[in-house]
Amino acid sequence: MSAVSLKNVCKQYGKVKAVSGISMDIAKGEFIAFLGPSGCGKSSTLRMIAGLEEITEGDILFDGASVIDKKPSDRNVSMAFENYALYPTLTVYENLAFPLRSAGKKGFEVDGRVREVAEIMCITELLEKKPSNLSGGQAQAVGLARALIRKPNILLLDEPISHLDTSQRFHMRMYIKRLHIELGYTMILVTHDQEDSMSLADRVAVMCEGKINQIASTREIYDHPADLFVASFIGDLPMNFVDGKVEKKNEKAYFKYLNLGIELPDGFIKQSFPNEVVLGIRPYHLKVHPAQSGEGSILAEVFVTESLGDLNVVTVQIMDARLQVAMPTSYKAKPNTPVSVSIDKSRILLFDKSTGKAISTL
Amino acid sequence: MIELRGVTKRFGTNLAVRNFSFKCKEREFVVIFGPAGAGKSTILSMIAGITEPTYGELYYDDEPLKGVPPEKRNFSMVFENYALYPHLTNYENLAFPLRAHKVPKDEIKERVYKMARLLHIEEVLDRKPGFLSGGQRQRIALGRSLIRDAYIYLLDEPIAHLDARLRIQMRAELKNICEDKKATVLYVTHDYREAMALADRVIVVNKGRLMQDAPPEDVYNKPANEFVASFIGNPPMSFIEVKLEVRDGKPEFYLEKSEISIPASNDFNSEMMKEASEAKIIKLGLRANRTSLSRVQDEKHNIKADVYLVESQGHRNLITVKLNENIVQAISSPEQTYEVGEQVFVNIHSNILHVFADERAIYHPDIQA
Repeated sequence: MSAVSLKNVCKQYGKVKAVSGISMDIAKGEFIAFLGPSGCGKSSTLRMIAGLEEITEGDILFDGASVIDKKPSDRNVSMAFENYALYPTLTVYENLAFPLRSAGKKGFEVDGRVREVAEIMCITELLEKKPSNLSGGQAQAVGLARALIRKPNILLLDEPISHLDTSQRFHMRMYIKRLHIELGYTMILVTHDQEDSMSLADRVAVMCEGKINQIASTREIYDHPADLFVASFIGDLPMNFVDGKVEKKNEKAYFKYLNLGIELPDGFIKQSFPNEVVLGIRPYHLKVHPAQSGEGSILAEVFVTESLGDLNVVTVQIMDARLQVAMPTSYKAKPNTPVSVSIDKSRILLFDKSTGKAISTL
Repeated sequence: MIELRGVTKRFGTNLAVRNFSFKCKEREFVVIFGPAGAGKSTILSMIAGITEPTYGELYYDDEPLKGVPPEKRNFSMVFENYALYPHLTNYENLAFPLRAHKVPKDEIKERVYKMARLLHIEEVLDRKPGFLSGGQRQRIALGRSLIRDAYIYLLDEPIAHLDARLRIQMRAELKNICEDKKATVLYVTHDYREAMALADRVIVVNKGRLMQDAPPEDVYNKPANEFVASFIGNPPMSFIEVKLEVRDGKPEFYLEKSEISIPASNDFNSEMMKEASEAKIIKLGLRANRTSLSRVQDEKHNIKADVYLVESQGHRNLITVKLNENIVQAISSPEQTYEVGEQVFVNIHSNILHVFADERAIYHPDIQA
């Protein structure tokens, strides 16, 4: 039985359909991320799971039983918010104790649990401080601790680390991931940052305009995105796209862009293709070679080289298209240098231009 | 061109900028980089003339800027909150600075369309700012500041509100526009890749203080201190606390309460030895992309550790291991997975180790070819 089951969940705000028919099952102990741009419906979905928003249509079940008529406090879910929502006049200790006291617990029971959670979360030395004296990362850790204090069945995280600076972010990601490993909670994260979702989640649900485009493991979402939207959203360097068409000749399939032909993997030979196709290839699956080297089959010209510290990104111009190629830091080429580009055939992705959907190999 | 000498800005009891000095040459693209609240926008405001420093001076071409109002400085600025004229169309917003400088009508039209094309906002030119998305508004604001010919362009996080894909596109266009105009630019960001991609020079700020002033490759490969090392890079640098010992006349770093000992590099000289021996805390720094793992101990993978976390980054996995109480990160290909708790061996040799004495860098390894 699933810990959380969403069945055709819809949310309408007046005329606006914020969430249109979301269905998915989340297993106990799973870490799921809802990933998408602002306005895609991910926060609305999370708030309906929490009970902070009413569902317009559909059903939400916890362990097989519908919860849509239950108040948030009766659902045994807990939430950590982007802005921590800590009571500024109370110490960290008091902030942690609050949910227990509200539930009628007293004295030693409260103290014991607060100290237990503080130790698990490594925030014991912060207990006497007030929220205004905490760094962003510390405040977030306290917010998480408070969410865990009543031992929820499900932990909901609403963009908990988006606004933290780089090094705090890395730290908190590690922290949240370790929490999941050590405590085994069912966790649902909402974020617009693909790196957060790839790093933390077992499975990612990529959302766009109120719908889920794909739910899959991080590996699957990266290697086999279901459509152009997912493909363009995932990856630290954006995927390259080129419009063209597919032609078949002599038992082989070729992607054609103007007078450029790129041989496609054999898996595409038996497939049928629409008129207009988009080729997708990640910067990590291309290489730049000197023009005379004999390596690489595509002639191009360097547009610009950016040094990012751990790698260089070379933008090459191929007729009217510009592609980005990830190269080692030792590679430097000036603009207008003629080069040749090689492509890892096995990583070529094709999409139907009009529907956006991925075309699979057969 | 622009010079800050000992500039300090106090707001009440808060020292937002402390004793800050730097120079920006003509046609340089200088990025001011640091976390939120570091004082970056305050520095830009003082250069623009919107705020005056509490102590210290600002100069433009060796002339003091004190008392010169913003409109007389001829510096073009983009604010994070855009400040677009809501009653004018986007075309009019872009044309405004040119009209103010009495540029002929035909030229205005040409320049507005060219800018709009570069920033991908041609289709919205006849609309008003109120009907645009945040990202579109940000590009109009950026276009408006770049369209005129100013001595210096002060850009405060001008593409922060664009989605990742668009941000990367705009970055390249922006660099092109600035090079075409032979512009001098001071650019604020908290995104290290943006800083690396755009800058001729990076000025790293933290808590109002100057942390490092150097070209991007140096800030990445030779960070001046632990703050810079931990703020730049994906993931940030890992640190191991060690003690220094001399064995057989050669310096070695060892981890307390363990048998782990790493000989220092051959070019770790006596001056560095002296600094290290006088330090209270010595740390070794290493970057994940130069650190690898193996299940079997070999010459390269010398130090035993336990897998603490495995994170996917799509094109690679980030493996966090625990070495005594230290946390170190390494990368592996996406197919190579490790189990949490598994014992592995880490590649930790002097050729990838930076040495920090009391948070200050005293030794950097050679850059990998």
